[in-house]
Amino acid sequence: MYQQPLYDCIAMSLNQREYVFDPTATADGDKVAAVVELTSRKWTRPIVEHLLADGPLRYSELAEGIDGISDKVLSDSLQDLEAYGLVSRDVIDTRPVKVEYSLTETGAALESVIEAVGEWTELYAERVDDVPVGDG
Amino acid sequence: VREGKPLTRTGATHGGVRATFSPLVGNRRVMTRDDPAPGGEAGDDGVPRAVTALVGMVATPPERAVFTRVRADGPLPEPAVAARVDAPPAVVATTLADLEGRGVVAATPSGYALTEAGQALGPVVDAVDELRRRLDRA
Repeated sequence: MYQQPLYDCIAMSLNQREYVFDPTATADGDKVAAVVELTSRKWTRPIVEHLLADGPLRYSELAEGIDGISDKVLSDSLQDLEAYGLVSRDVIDTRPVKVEYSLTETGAALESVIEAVGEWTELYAERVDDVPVGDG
Repeated sequence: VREGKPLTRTGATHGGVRATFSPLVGNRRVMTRDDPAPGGEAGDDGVPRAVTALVGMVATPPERAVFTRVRADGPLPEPAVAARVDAPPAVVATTLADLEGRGVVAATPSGYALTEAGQALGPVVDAVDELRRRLDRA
């Protein structure tokens, strides 16, 4: 007898149903989860806050404005944010050439994610256990 | 080495970490060898990795769909959740068990409902949804 696999896709119109189970559609979820992970890093919040408040900013202005951040961490963080389309890096054609960073429209949405996660963490993080993969 | 039995029923992981609540043991944390800070060890000293894993899980399918339905219409019995999110009953059952194990939903006589911590996740999911919309448009 044919047994329906657990992860069979149910083909229904999105107009009729709120959610269509499609186990192959992981790219969107992966991307969102990756951005959530990015927002949880220590230095993402100050970078986003500075760009929101004062952007666009040059690299040196960002580095000076964020106390304690290393060049490597700032550079890596900006690259990661840029890779997800959250920060734009604009080369201004001046002499010398100027590079400015600013939040994209998508990146501006990080502020509310960071704030909401921060508030939840403050209230409920102590109830969460950290269980490494394969342990238990 | 964990002394207690993990409360999660699936192997779902996010960011290499599986997050679990421990409400069924009187909110007593299951101790680990290193006894990490509340919420688990922080990722790069930012938000604890377990919290990030939990948010990543609740913000993505199928957990997101189940969470959203229970949030909007709960308490709901399992079959009602399955009908409204249009996912296979087995998937919904596993997802509800997973969310229950993490303390996001709780089984009540009327069906599944969000816990206090689950309700507080609502604004987080809303913010992530807005982020998702913008990512999709970009």
